Amino acid sequence: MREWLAPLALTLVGCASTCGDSSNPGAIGELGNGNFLYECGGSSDPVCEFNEFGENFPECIAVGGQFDLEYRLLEGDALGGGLELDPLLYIESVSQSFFEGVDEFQAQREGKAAFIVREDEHVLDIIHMQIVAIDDFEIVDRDPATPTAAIEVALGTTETFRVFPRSFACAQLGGAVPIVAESSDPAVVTVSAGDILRVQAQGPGEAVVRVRLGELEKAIDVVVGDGPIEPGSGSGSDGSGSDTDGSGSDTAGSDTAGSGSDTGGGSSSGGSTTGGT
Amino acid sequence: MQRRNASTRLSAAALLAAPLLAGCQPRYDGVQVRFLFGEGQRAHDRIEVVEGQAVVVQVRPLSSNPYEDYEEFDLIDLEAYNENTLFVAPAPEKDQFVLAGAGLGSTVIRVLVNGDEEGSLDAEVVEQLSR
Repeated sequence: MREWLAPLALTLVGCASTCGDSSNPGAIGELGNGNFLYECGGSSDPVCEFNEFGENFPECIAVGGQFDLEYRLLEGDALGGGLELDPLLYIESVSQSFFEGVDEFQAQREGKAAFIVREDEHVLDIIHMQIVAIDDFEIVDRDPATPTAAIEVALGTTETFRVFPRSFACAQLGGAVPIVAESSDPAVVTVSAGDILRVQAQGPGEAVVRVRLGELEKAIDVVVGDGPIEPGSGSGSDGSGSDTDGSGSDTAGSDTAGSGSDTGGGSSSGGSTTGGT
Repeated sequence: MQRRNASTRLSAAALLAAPLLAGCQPRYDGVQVRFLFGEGQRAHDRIEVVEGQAVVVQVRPLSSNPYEDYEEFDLIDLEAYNENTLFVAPAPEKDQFVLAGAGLGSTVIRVLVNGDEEGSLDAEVVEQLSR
């Protein structure tokens, strides 16, 4: 295992620069020797939906979700026994078929799998994380952060969206799942995706942007006007609002291959993820 | 001539003492394995760990010598033959080890006591049951 686990090095006295700023209390390791801290895998990680650093350690990770972990030993001689530790600690995935990666991790398939913290010889702590399939996702406008199914974009402007995976099986889901998107008419809008979805208006007309997250797919109807968007007429590039009713993210015509889900009742995590400040 | 007699007597004494000294040593007779944490078990002929998961076990050597048990200072160590199947490493507590199922399959864990290989344990990494 040592060969393929080129480790993420952490010092005993510190971790990433974000540690001090994070309000995320982390999760105590199963051997009780320290704290695991979660770092979002990107802007579309549900853990960081309301806060850059997240406020909770997720209960589970979405299949395909990317994230990172850090570890801090508890202060004092928590280990006892006068164990002489190598100053470098490593977080390793026990099985690459569940959590792939060394520097950051990506969940590969459903199940429960462990991460271990080790120094040169000893394993100091363990944490198991559940991996669940996503059964829905939400395309969320930037400001106001509302689910979006149809937008109007002014010519020459770009709209950005975060795309959050959801799972009815897990209220506090983690992991940024890579976004894939395509435009039905690149002459009207072009798209780029990955961590966030960008829709850029190219010419007047109407187009459909298909967004895929894992095996699920949704559509956004896009209208590009040849003049400025009037305030209140829709979710234009000025971010003045969404023309959806906010009750769900599915459009009537969007096919959700394999999902069959309708978020009309609200997202599974909108209320359960601890509200942001 | 006197020196030769003394040497002969020493050799004879050593020969006589050797079995007695050996009788004061613990005689390896397997290990006691206790699962302290995690989803694993010891089947009658092997240790089973679930793929992707980690367990903590306490391992203590057993002696078949009725007059001499292993002591606290006897150091036990485990080494997996195939770390791509089963990862084995000591935990901070003495005699405790973390076993982690890196990949499906079977392997063997070598048991070392005070640095000497004394035996082995069969181990299998089994599939996670679907939920």
